[in-house]
Amino acid sequence: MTFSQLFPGAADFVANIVKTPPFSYIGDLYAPFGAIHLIGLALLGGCVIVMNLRLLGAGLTEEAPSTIERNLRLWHIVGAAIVIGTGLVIGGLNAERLYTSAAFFVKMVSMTAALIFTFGVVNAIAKADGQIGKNTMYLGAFAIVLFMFAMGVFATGDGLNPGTFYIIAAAYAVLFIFGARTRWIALGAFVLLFGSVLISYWIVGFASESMDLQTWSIAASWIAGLLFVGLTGFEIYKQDATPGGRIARLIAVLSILSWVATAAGGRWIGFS
Amino acid sequence: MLYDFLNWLQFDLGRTSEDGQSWSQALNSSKNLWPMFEGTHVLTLMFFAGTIWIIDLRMMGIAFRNTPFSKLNDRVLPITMAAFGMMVFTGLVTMFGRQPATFFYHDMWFRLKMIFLVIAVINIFWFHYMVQKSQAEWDAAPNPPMNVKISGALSMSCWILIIIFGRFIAYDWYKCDKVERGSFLYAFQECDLLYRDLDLEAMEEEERLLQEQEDEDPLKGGAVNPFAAPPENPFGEPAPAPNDVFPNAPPPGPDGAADPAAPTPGQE
Repeated sequence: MTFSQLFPGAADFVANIVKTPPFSYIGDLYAPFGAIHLIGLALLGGCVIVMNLRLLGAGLTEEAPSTIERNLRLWHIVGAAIVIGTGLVIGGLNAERLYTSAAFFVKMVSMTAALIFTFGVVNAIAKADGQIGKNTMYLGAFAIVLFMFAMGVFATGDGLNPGTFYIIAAAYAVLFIFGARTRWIALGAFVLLFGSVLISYWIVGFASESMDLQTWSIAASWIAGLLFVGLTGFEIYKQDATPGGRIARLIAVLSILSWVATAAGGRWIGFS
Repeated sequence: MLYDFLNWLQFDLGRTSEDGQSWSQALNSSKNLWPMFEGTHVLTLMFFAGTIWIIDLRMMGIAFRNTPFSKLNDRVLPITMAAFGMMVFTGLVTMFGRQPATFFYHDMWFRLKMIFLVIAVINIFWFHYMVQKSQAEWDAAPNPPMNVKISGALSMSCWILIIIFGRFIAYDWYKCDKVERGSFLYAFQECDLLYRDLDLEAMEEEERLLQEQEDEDPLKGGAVNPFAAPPENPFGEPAPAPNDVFPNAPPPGPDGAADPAAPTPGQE
């Protein structure tokens, strides 16, 4: 699924973006804006990880979630402003390509979910030290649906699905950090993911496009994904001593992964 | 010696297969494997740089002013360190799979990135062995002493520059074939080494012929540059398929990247 399929009538408009001021004047600034985009993503990512880990009962557990939220609020906003501001510039300079890119579509849907999670749900839960209001709950449910939709497109898109590797790997990294009972299984799965990819490609040849390997990779991704869902579900169900309870923990995991999916979608634009 | 080692990695290691490709060359032409590692390298930034900046901000007295430094350091730094390990691993695989000798070794941005990486590491040691000795005195202070602030600012600046230079590696603005012989950049990138064993006259002739080809056929524009890699390992990536939605659009670069400053093949 791409924006060109959803809005086919916008092709002329999209084609003209790069010829329109201010984009027509700043073509040479594509690379610096791309670099600053990464810096914004890293800053925002750091804030998201520290904030959500607290809701998961890991990281800065001595501080109340509201204290962490207060300290990170400015940097959340700065990070998001950099990501969106520079994203508009590099997106405008590359509009034709992004219009037809399924990876970009995934990135945009996932980013919408991630922004809702971060600014509408997680920070609200943290501000209230774990209390979840009704509106926050509805927003969270909406963000979950959006994120699942993005993941569905990512996992089933032809040429796109290898990009889900990043999300599965990040999911196990997060589980390793917060999982009280399944931490070592998560680490094992994380190492196995990278190890099996390297070893299997080494056996068939790094440049191989073996169909068997691709079939195996898809099956392994589903197994790894389902195992993660099972292990995380177990952790969320079992850990009770964290602010916000199970719903906050579920949202915290999905919030981190939605930002990873946003970054992964962005990275895969260049590869798909 | 380092250059010879990188040449061995690029051209000889694992060169036993029927097609005569080394592991590095095979990884270079892989469809998904190299992108998986390169992408992971970039995505790890969120876990590494993002978390170290939070510690840096505390050191500068800007964020978490009422949280003792030791608490933040003890709780966040392990994530930072683990992410750093992952970043180094995926970075090494990424470099190994994209012409470590002919591409990375002679890249100005990669060299600058390494220089600032060394500065960042020196700063870590300075902080750990000098500044942190007096940590008990400023641990809970909202406004740490100047040497702590300097260390935090230096760390943050280094990682910002490392990310910027790392991103610029994808661009070929100052590749050896684009800088004047005898210039500072030519020497800084050790371009002489790249052309050491090559027949320059033959390469110039090849470039002239290629230019003629490009002039005749716009679809070939900028796809291959004989100066960018030795003859044994040209980029050789096929030109992407024409754009379905914009059939009249100019063709993208070898990796289908944006036009403004087309990145090097396989990178963006």
